[in-house]
Amino acid sequence: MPTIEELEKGRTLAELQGMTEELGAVVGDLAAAEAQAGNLEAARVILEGLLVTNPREALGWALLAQVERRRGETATALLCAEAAARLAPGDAQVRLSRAEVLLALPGDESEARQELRDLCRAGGAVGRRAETLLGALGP
Amino acid sequence: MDPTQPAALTRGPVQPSEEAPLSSRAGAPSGPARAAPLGHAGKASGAELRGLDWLSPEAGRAASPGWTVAPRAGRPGPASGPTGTGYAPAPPPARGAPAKPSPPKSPSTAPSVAKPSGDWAFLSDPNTSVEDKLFRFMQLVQKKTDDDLVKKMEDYRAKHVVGTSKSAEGAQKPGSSLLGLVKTIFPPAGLVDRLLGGDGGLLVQAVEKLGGPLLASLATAFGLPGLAPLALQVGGQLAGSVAKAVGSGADATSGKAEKKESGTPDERLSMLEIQRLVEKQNQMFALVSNILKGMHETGMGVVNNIR
Repeated sequence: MPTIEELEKGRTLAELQGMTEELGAVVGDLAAAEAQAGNLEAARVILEGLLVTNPREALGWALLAQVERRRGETATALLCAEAAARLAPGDAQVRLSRAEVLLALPGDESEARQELRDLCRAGGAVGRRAETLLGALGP
Repeated sequence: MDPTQPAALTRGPVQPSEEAPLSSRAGAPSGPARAAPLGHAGKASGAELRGLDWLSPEAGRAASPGWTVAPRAGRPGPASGPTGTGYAPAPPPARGAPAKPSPPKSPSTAPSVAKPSGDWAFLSDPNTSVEDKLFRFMQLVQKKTDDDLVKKMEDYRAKHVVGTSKSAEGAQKPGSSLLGLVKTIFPPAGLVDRLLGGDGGLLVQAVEKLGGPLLASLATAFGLPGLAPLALQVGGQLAGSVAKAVGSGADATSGKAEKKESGTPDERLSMLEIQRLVEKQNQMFALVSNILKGMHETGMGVVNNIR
């Protein structure tokens, strides 16, 4: 069992327990599948467990931001999105997840639009999603 | 999407041909993890099944209308910070040798990630699927955690009986300084000002939902792991206290000052705090275990149908 001192030094449960990135990614993918299936509560429980295990899992924070936003918890979603952005500021999925949260906040739409415009050039699913959102938002 | 297509994938007699779209989902990485919803197909409602459009025969030709972060695909580089991704390094692959059982190690011993052996040898076994690895990992961690807990409780009881343990310093009194803690954790993102707005309602909402363990994780994510234990301690009481603190207009204080106010946690309190983290992790393990079980049952249903 870890100690408070180890946590203070920034060690994670994942490091202390020997959990590899591969396993963390599988857990995150299970949560994503649950979220996509509409099981938001299950996805939230899995993601909270994953993030307690490894707080530096940027995509986990981004996914939790999505889940919280879909649950209507916008403020919590913003905290999670900002955590993800701090951990992986250049990651397209993280940026898109944060932009989606910002769209839901009053006064942050312009920042979200700019982020979406930038993400349109990212290509792939993220780029398509950004284009779709921008199109839906209109001029 | 035709909602009747995924509905046919309910638990029970699953047609083998219906598995095919799983591997042809547009933009999705191959692998059984994507099949997770199958385990829940039997209980999925119509609304839930709308998210399963990739199970339809059209999957692979039409892009999914929704978008969800895909943790397994396109992982970002190492996180900023001295300790990288926060995961243990991946063990080098074993040369086809199956994992051998070995005597249990000391619970406090971290697994050797460079050359996994003993209980952890399965992590480098190329013949074991990642789901099996995950399942065995969860089993091992839970067993070791339980062993640790029993040992700690025995230690505590021994100390308590002989009267050498320090007394608990009582419940934390978050008071107005809690807002300082929140501001200390979140200033990198300028979140407090954004969330506080007028009456701090949004912030209270947010921390209410987060709770202690996740707030501690947030502190670590924001590069302040030193505040994680404090966040863990006060997280449960944070929401109401922040509301009061906002009302009284408390100023931000440094994390070190906060730590002094909260006092040095004694061993028992520390153990309880860690236990809260582990409980959260165990919740995840239980749920993931159920999902993996559902996936296994679905797979076995397919095999039985083929037979």
